Amino acid sequence: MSENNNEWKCPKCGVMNSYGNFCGECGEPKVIAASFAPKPAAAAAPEPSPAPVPAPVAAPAPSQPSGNNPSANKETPEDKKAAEKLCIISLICMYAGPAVFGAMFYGLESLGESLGSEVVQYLALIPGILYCASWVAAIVLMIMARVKYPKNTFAKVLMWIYIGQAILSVIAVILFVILCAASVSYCVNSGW
Amino acid sequence: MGRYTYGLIIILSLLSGTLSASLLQSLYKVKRQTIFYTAFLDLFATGMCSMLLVFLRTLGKGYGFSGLGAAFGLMLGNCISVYIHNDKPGVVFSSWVVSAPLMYSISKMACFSSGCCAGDAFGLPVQPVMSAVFFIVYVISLIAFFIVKDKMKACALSMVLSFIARFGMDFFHYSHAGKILSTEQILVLVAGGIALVLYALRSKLPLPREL
Repeated sequence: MSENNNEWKCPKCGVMNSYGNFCGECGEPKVIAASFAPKPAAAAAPEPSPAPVPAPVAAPAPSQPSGNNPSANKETPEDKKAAEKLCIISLICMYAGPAVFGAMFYGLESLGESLGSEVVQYLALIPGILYCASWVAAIVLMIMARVKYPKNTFAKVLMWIYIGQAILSVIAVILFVILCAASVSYCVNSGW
Repeated sequence: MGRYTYGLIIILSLLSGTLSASLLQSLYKVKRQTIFYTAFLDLFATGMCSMLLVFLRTLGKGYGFSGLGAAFGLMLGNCISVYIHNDKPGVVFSSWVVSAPLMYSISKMACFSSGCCAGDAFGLPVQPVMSAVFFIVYVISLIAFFIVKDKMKACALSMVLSFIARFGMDFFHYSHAGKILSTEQILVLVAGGIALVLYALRSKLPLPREL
């Protein structure tokens, strides 16, 4: 067995050790890869190892965001900030976006009609698409915030606002149908 | 009752599809959070895109629903959801695609109640015939979903059968009269072609694992 196989770098202080299971400089245990193969005798530490299992490579950073670990118990400040960012962008997409794109749509539509230009009327469809995309983006961002940061209150509140909104919209549409739209044809298509 | 029937049946079709997809996912131990948010996004995107397609076709003047728009919205919601949650994405994606023929089957009865998408299929109105055909597609896809290990195969079967049924049944629509191929059939061919290519390339696309 060559000596190189016994060399290892201490994860704590970075010193190269040529033998043993504990760093000669700082005493940090060597990380041993999981293996059931018997180790050569030269790799055994001269002193008895106090701990049966070596410590992990590095302790987690004190304020590691739990965005990758949604089951973490506490919400860190980084999590809160990231979740709030997602929620604010979601709110903008839900309300400001449609307002802007709706205004653009009506503006272009009216302009197109007054100019008699079909091209402008076609252009008006682009803000129409963006209007819908904006709403979809708002929902997606809210879901992302809820999935990644389940402890965040802002995201939870936003979710309930959107659910309430969806229910109210369905009720509003049903009421519209019952009260006003006696002759509205919903299936405005010939098959598709 | 007549004017409410369309809307009520559409709501019923959406609820049935959601129930079907959610039950399939829960049978395969998908997390409740994934089931809920996927359903929320899919329903929203289905409704939005269904109305958006009519909006675009009528150059911003019309309001209504469209089956092709709904299918596009469902796919969009599905694709986004599997990326967000990455929780058994094959099961989640496939459960919705397998449930889509059920939704279409019920929605055809809405068309029957309002008199649109009319036609003649061997002496019978085409809408209930299409409803029956798509229900059979749903049952076949559902059986495949339970039998196959790779759930995306059931998804592919559902799509292929749906495209064939939609293409074939179009010949019986009154709107098809005098045409070799209608616009709807061309759209089905295009959508089917795109879906087939994406399915064939699915291992090369940046998809979540297991899809």
